[in-house]
Amino acid sequence: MLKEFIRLPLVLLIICGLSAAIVNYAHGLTTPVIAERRHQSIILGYAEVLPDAVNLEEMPLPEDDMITEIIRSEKDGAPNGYVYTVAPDGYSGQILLMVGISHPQAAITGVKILQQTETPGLGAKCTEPAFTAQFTGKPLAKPLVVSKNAKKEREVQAITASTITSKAVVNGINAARKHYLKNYAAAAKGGKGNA
Amino acid sequence: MKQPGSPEPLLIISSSPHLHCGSTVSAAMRDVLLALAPTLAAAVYYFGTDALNVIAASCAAAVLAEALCQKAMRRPVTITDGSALLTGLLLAFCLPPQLAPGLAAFGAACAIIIGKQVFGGLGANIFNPAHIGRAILLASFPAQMTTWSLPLTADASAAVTAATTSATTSATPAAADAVTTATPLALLRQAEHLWQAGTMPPDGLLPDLTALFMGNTAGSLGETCVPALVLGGFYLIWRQVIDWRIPLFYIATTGLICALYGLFNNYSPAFALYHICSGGLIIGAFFMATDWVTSPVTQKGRIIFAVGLGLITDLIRLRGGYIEGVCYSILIMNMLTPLIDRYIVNTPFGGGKRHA
Amino acid sequence: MLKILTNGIFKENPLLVQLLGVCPALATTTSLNNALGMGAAFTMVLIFSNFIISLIKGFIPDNIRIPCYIVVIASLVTVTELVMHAYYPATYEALGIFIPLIVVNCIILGRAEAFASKNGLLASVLDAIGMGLGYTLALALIAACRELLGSGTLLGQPVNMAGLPPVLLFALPAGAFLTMGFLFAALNWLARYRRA
Repeated sequence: MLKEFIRLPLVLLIICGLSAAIVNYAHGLTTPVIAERRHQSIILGYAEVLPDAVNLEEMPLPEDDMITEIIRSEKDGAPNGYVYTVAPDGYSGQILLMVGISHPQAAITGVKILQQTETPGLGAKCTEPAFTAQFTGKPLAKPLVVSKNAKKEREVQAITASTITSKAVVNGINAARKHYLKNYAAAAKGGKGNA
Repeated sequence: MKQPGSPEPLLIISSSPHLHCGSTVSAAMRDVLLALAPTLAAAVYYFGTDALNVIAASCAAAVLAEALCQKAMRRPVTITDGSALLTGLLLAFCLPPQLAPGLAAFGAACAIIIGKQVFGGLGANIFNPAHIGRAILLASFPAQMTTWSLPLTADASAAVTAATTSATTSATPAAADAVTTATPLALLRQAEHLWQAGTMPPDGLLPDLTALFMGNTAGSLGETCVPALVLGGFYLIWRQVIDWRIPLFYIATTGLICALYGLFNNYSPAFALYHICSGGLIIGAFFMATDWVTSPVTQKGRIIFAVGLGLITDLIRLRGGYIEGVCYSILIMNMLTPLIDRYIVNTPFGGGKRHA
Repeated sequence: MLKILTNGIFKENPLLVQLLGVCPALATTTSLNNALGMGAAFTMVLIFSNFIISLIKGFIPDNIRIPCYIVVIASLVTVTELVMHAYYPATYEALGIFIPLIVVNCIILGRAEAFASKNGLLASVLDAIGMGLGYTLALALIAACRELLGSGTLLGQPVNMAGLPPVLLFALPAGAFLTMGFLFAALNWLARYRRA
């Protein structure tokens, strides 16, 4: 009887110990690869939305906003662009996207959807270039609006039957625009930014 | 239990007294089809040949699907009882008039096969087949199912003004396109935003109440004309094909909640009237919710059923992401029907106290 | 020996015949790519778990066998998840929570209990390959139907559907239930037809 009391936990202990060792070994083997990959994909993401991205530096975040990250790109000692990561609320959950803004031209250089859980075949189409490419080159002078048949420069063609998703993406971009104009664009013009 | 392939179910559940009045399924179906004739005429009057195409495709596909399905499952073919034709017609009445007839036919085939035959045919289906067809179409082709056109009789220039005014006043500019437009319920949502902001919606944003009542607005091809639907509904009540309790309590609950909601939020007093006359409420209350197979058998059960329909419809319309809630409210309450029938039991005549 | 292998693919197919592992089959069959990724991850875990459990079956006392199996399976799933995260990030992202959920997939524990704990090494591995292939094939079948009908593509490549528009419903969860139901019905009908 006593023998059982020792034998059962002992067997379980051995199995758990061996399993833990294997998992630990695999973890040690894969962690650097995963970290490297994540780093690479983020760098690639920055380069995708802001082709001139060099000398990246993280900027302070505003409080209580949908902006989750601001990256400044610097060339020859002066900022030449910003990359905003924003998380607006979509139709089903948050949409995470990156917006590249050229400086001091104040135009969108690219938009990339990082994460979304929208309806497949409808809102999920927001990741396709057919939707994201239209933002490239749009000036930030006025806020963007969603339209069912976009003609003007500030209008964005909505994804068919997915107005909520389209609006969410545009809301996120407008939040980045607002923050950029308030904090960085003024600095370029008058040299008196209120960051 | 019902044997597969047997011509008639051996057991029929109904509330007492269990006397047969001599009426048959096909006679009842004839009555319903007759009751829908004014609506059919109104649909063709307002939407022209587009409506006829959708109706023809839907009805033909429904009957054909029923025949093929019953042949394949080696059941007796019962297309002559008119129930498949009725499903096809009711589905067509819930579709946008300019929908491609091919899609309407697909929806009708789904309604018959998935909504009815896989459950065992007429009498064994849990859900209203026509609304199953509509729900499948809406999930599969959301863009085509939410593109609406104005009736041929509507003043197109007024629509353009409405669209352009809404473009300047609301955050979502509606497309200034004379062909496609928004349904009254969608316009009502826009008006709600304006009321909430404390401003009055511009003239011409909301359709005229008379036009809405007569059916001279955008919408599914058989749901817009209130008088035609009510006429058919009263005929069915007079013929005792349907129970007056379901339409009355359904429409009353929906209207009452909308009236209170409008009062509470300081909307226009006509808010509740707009809700009653728009969307699929009238056709749903008289022709969909009263389906024999998918509604409760007792009078008390039917009242509970109808009040539940009103609550869910308003919940979706007033607080939901969709602008129309009739179809889903009926499907949800269809699911609860067996439960209502299980717990709401008539006291036997002279039975007195019930014993557990 | 060959019979053990084919058993899992046809006669005792875990999904189509035993109706096990239905939850991941509903969730991961939106595209053929996802289904194959899920099937591969599942098969790897099953082969290793059957192998290890067959190897240590003499060492495990009978009254604590279930916790022992679960520890082995959970470790294997964690390793598989890490490897996929590192080397197949796209598939890893697409499958999400359903990789860790392989731990509670009843087929894996079921094969450990019903087969690997009673049979030799070679037979256990063959059984795992058969069951894994059977499950993967069933997933691929459902996913092919859903991807073709729901998005008009196959393995991400557009397929000419003779002008028929894709039916979005099949890409949605409701479409998974419908596809599976009709597929099971068709297989039952086929089986009865062949017997008759």
